[in-house]
Amino acid sequence: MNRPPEHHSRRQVLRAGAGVLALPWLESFSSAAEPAPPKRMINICTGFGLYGPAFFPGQAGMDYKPSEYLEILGDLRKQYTVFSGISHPEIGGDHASEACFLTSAKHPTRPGFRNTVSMDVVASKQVAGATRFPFMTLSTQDGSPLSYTDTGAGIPAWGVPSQVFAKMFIAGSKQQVKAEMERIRRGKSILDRMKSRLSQLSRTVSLHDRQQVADYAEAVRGLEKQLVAEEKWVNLPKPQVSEPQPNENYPSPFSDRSNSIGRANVMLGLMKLAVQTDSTRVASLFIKGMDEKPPIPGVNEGHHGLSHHGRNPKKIEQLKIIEKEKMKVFGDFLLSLRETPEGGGNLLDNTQVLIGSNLGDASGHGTTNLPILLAGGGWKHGGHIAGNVKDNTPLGQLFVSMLQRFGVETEDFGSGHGAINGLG
Amino acid sequence: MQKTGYFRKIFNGLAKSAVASWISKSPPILTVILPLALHADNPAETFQSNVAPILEAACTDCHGGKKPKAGLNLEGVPTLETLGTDYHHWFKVMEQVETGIMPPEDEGPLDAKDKETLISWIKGDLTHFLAEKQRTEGRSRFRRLSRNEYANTIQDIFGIRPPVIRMMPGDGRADGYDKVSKALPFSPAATEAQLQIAEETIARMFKHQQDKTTIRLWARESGQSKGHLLELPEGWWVSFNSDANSGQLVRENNGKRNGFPGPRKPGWHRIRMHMYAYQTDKPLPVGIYGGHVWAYPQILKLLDVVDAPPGNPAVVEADVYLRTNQDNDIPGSGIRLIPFGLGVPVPKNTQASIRGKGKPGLAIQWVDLEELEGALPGQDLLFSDLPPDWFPGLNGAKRSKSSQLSQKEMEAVLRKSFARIGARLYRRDLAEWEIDFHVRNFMDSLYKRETLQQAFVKEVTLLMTSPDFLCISANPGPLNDFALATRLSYFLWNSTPDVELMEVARSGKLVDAQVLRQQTDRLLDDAKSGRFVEDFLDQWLGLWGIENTTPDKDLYPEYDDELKISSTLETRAAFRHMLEKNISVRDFVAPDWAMANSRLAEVYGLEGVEGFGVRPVKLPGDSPFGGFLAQAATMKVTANGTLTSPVKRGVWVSDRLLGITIPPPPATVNAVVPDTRGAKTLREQLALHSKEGSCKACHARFDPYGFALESFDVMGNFRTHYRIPNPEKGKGLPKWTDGLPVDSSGITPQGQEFAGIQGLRKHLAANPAQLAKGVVRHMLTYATGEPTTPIDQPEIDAIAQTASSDDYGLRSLVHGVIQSPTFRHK
Repeated sequence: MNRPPEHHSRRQVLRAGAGVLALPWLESFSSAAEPAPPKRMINICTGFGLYGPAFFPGQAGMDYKPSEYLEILGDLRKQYTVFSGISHPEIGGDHASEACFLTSAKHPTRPGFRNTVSMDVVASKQVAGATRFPFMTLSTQDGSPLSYTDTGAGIPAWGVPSQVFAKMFIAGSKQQVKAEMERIRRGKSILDRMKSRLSQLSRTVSLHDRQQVADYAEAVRGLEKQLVAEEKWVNLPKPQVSEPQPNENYPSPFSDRSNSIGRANVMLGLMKLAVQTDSTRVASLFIKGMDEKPPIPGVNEGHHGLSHHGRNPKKIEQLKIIEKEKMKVFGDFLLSLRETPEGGGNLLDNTQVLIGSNLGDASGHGTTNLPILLAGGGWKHGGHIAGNVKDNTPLGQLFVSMLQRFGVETEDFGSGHGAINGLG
Repeated sequence: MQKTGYFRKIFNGLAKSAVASWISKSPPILTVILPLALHADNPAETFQSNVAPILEAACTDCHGGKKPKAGLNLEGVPTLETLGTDYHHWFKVMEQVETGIMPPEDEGPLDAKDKETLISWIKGDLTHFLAEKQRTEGRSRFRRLSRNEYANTIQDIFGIRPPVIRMMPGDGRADGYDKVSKALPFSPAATEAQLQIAEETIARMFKHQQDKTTIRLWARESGQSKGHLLELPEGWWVSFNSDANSGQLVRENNGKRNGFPGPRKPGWHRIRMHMYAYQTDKPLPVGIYGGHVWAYPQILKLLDVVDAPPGNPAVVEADVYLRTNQDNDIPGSGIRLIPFGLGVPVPKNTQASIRGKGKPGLAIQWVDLEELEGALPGQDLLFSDLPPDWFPGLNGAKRSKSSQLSQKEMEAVLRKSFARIGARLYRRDLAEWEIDFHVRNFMDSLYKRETLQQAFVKEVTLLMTSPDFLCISANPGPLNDFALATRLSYFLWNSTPDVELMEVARSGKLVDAQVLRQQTDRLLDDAKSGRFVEDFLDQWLGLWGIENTTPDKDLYPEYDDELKISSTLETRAAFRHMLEKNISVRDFVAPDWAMANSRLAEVYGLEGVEGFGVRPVKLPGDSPFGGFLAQAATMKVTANGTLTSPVKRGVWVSDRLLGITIPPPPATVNAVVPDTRGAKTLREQLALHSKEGSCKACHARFDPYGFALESFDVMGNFRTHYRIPNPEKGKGLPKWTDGLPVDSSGITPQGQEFAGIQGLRKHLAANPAQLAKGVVRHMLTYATGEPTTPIDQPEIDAIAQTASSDDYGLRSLVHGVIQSPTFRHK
């Protein structure tokens, strides 16, 4: 952001784009009351854990002494809660746990594993139709996504920032809009044909296969709904922003596989614009751990190798350099949300930001005692909610709390039953 | 007798004739079917009479009542119906009782006869009943093509490999395999991508020229490599580095050397490289890379490796599939040649002509890309039944005269065309109503004033987005000819049947065992079977993870790309070699040969192996190396960048090589967090963890394999000591030194002591039947797209048994799998 923050209130941004009519939450705009800004949710998972002794504070409660990593977040302290002794139960140690970070599905490495719906997808249903993108799932690299459909199918993450920016902010020419309408029309007619063939099949396949055919039909209906929604938005103007479109050319972080923190920074910038312009209200980012040596001074080994430090102090030292850099990027992101005024408060007040990892002690692929931090979203923050390190609090309980705050009426999510204790 | 690969064929031939008299006494292949078709007693009845009393006496005190231990209740009398749906726990019972974990020590063992009765009820009556039920209801499930199968299929039919990695969500894995229904969920995103890929692929059939051409590329210095390369007369350039600055090429256009160095259209190309290894008497391996060659750093994918011969310029050839920008998974479509193993001897900003003196380099003058295909296969498929003036731009016909067809004539043309296109895509003949549907649709489009091309794209898109194309489906019972052709070709080619296989299926002869055997041999002998070798090994042995970690560069400074690539080639070549020569699966664990090139020979301590190509090399009698048990690639994928874990490798040997599944640890057990600071080896740390009761009993089943493999480090070197960081630092000093000694001794699960890897090899090689069962189990999962369960065990045993007459030759086992009732039924 190059302009002073007051120029970036969401309303002004949207006025410029004349997209106001499309926003249900502004319907009461004509009335005298200031409309309540919408609730947003951002989930971030970083792949190789965060070194526990440097992440977790020593004391529980409001008066904890900030840990080495939390020190980096500085005066944001009142805007976040840090958790310890928390994890999804029965995941089993492996990088495969990435797929379960937002779903809590058990045993991803066992034969016959099938994932379940992810928390962001559940949240997005609550605000279906309100924004151009029901949700946004981003990644710094190809690989296993964070977001999963109701039938446990992975939703491919967007990984090219220039394209993400274009989808949100660059208006198509008349011809492009026409071609887009044409594509949607053709797509719908092909889906009709698929549906009728699947309904024939559901009558002829064996009993054991009916569920698969039904799942397929569900996916086809899902795409149909998506096309209907796209049809509605294709003719509506896109919001305008002053930020330039990012690109992937050298020397951008996206020309360098090893620079996943630089990539995360670009993606976080886009996520901020996405929620600020109400292009979406639910966004997730997976910061994939990379085997390569990141371009950070003082680091001369690959990140993956360092994460398997085997308690070698030299490796831990280097690992911490990488992770501190990451913490700084998280801190800057939260700050930029806080510095964006909105509805009498700021954007961070209206956005729950979950930051964590699918791995606890990454050196042994541990999936318990995950580093977890929840910022913003109007919660009363400032404390360290410490669970039992031997018998962890289900992370799903935190997800229940987050979903409830987002407006979803639920008492359960995955292996989490009931809201988490201590978060107010 | 020499037992190197080259001699192996003779050896096998002799072995075969030596046992021929024995074979003739053994029953014919029908024995495979018999054990399952045998009359078995009603398991519900035999349970009550034989099993219930044993359970009552020995088990139900704990496993019964209101709170049965481990949630396992063995009380009550099952009916046939409940046995059919609720049977999984019986196989757990079998495993626990067979391995002696249950009943627990303090309860005293089961009476030997009771144990036998209980286990034979599970393995006999119960399993037979379940297998029969499975056969009637269909064992494998309706599933979609995996992402890889889908890409191969489109590539084979149309000639353009779609960018599925870029466009579609990745598949899961069940039991390690991405061919299983459970691992292949349906999603709107995948459906959307398939729709787009269909439209784009067909549209491109109308665009690409059908002639062949050869594109000439010239070596040159790049902006980034200024001064790094040495210029020789007549356009020769020499690179002394193994980094991406080497081997830049430009295309010659109208005499000017400034064009993009990539293909004109996607497809198979013969690359001819005029080059040699400079200032050396050894061949220099050169990687052919494709991708974004003008980015920095470049985004490249390795396509193939060749050797540049030393001394004199020569033309080296390789056939590679090239992709264009539009259809590539990574951005870009340029070509670049990068030599391996030179390191970076020319530091930045140093003149190669000065620093490259006396050092080996890669000299290149020009590279030709010769297109090997004229029309793309998809163009032949779509257009060959059509009047030549329908799409005049494509086949040179003039637009001047339109073929004035009557509606009837037109419909006849379309019927023929769609019958053929449809059969190729659906892997079966279309029903009349299906052909009618597409012809009617097509005519409708024309009435609506759409162009011929639009109508064509629309109809073929419908075919390519139909579940009949995208999914594998069959009726319960024996597979019909077309379904069998599909299963066969997705097994051995990871792709759709070709026209010949379809013809055999159409004639109704594929279900004939002999014909099926011939087709199996034909598919195996075709180059496309390389996909089976690659894909199966990726999933069976876990080679897909070869790039997941890079060995710590202080501890393993000798690890490099050349070794990584060589090692996967070795494992594939070894499997291929065994498949071709029908070598016994004993050589999975104890061969006296290895597939080596110069780089692997360094690791394995072999003399006189030059060049990059892997070939069979005889191993000395005392060599610790050889076989999937201890190859560089398998040792790498079972370790991480720093550490080896005997547990992980032990599970890998048991599950992957022996086919014995190890249940996951109980949820309450925390993983051991390795400590590499040096006071204790990981083995010692683990010993503390697994010394207790049920942990100990289970770990004893697989840890010992991992103990023996502790003799190999994370990159496959043989070691007697663990490497640790060298406490003495200084210029010129190695960064690592020997730490604690390796203890690779153990006791096999069968109770035999071994002192190290050689002892374990001997033990495993003495039981080739178990190795055969292991690989059969995995091939059955891969081939049928359904994980094997204990229900399949009798048939796995039978397939292995049949191949015993061929000394458990790998090819015989593949035939055995394909001829088996499990493969031939849904």
